[in-house]
Amino acid sequence: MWDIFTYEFGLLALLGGILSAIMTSLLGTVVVLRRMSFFGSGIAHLSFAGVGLALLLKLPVNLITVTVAAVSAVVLGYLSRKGVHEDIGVGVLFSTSMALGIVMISASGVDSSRVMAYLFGDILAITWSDIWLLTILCAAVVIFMIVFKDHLIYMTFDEDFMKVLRAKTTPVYYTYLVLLAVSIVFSINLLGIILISAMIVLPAASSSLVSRTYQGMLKLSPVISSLSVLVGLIVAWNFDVPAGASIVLVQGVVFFFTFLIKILGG
Amino acid sequence: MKCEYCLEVKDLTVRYGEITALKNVNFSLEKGKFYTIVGPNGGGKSTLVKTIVGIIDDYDGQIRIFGRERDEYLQEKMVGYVPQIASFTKFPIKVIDVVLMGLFRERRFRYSREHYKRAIKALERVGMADFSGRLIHELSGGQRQRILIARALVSDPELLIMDEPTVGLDSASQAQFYELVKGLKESGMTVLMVTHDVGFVSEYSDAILCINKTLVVHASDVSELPQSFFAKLYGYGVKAAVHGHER
Ligand SMILES: Nc1ncnc2c1ncn2[C@@H]1O[C@H](COP(=O)(O)OP(=O)(O)OP(=O)(O)O)[C@@H](O)[C@H]1O
Ligand SMILES: [Mg+2]
Repeated sequence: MWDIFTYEFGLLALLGGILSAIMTSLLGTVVVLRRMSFFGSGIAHLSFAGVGLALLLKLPVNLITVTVAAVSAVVLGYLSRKGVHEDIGVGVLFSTSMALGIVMISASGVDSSRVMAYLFGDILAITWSDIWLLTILCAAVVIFMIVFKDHLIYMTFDEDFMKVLRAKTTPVYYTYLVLLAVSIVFSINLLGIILISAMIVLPAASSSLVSRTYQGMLKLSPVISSLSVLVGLIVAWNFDVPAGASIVLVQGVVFFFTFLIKILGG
Repeated sequence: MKCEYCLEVKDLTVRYGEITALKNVNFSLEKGKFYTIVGPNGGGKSTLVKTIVGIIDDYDGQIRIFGRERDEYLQEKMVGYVPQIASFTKFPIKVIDVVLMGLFRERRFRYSREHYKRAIKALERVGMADFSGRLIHELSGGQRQRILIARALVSDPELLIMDEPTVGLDSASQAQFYELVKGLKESGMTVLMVTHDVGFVSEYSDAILCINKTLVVHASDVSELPQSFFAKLYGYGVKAAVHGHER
């Protein structure tokens, strides 16, 4: 049952999956608390336009995609500061960018199997260089969240009071959005554009059902998400199903059970 | 140079796009007194308060706090602020953490044990210490209001501004609240409070400001106000309420 982890690709998938799980779920907790759950999938879809652009112009895919995602995150953040809710901005750009991506990819004449890799990801194809990148990024996210979690939480809970405190929320907010965008792009290699928003929203949603406070959510979400990666990989290996989908399914099941516990436990 | 004024507002004009909420407001408040702001709905009371405490940054005119420019003062200290109506959406934050927000500027990366002690003390002052572990949205409206008063007090501000803090308080809590304010005044704090509770105004406050887009009257005693004043200000008679507190 555990023999997937006797292979190097299995261990790399587990390592990469957990690194990605930790960062997306930590950032995702704020996504859920801010009620901008559309944002994750929005950024993922926007980065699809980035993939298309890179393939069309024959430029490095990761670099272009990260740039596109980060810039759109900042633009959406700016719009939300001007009173357009993050989700509305995303809704507008969502389908347009996807269409744009498809058009550019087909114009580039690239083999469609490469496109499938972006849509569905391939966690079993992770390399050591991916792991190093994910480690650095995950460390950055963890440190950022430890230092600035109160900024993010307070500005969600009571933005006016942050102004009274004269706290510098704007740079923190934009840094948060950029980190979220970058984490999403690097997790796309693992889980794909279609499933990545589940990694952001589901663990935080599950933990919000069982923990009373935001502090509890921030501790529980990464645990739930990491365990889902472990279980998801084992399930995928033993039942011969795609790993990304299996991980997301496990997270869905966890959500369903925490929901049951919540309503049965009162 | 020593400054005798706690707050000076000169030619203050605040607009929301097309709407002018405040126009050429002028007044000065002395240190250590209890001031009340009254005025009709939409008269600009909350706008005035938000501009003083730093929520609204877009204004014309001048605001000086303890003799210094508003921004310069706020950079160093904060003004205690209790917002109008504590209608937070469901948010998983504990009462103690809400009060700790008031100490956000004093902490270094995290809150110390000393900060927690002060937060508990602030909760004791409003009689809510037993609720420190509850979630904020599990409390009743009046209880929430008291938590926000604790949050404003926890940093020991020199100037405390409250926007309708007694709305939703039962009469016992109101009496307790006014005792609290009296104590604060005795400790040297300047208190500025928005209220529609005209009856209480006469009993407790040293002076009263009436705001309806601009400063209508600044009276040092409620009895200086003409009887018809409130009727004119609000557009209908609230004389009875004032009358009831006449000595
Ligand atoms: N965010 C806003 N955007 C646009 N207009 C606003 C905004 N806030 C207040 N106003 C307008 O400014 C004016 C003053 O509002 P304000 O909230 O300061 O009144 P108030 O005296 O506090 O009223 P109340 O007694 O009801 O609390 C009103 O006409 C109001 O419609
Ligand atoms: Mg108001």
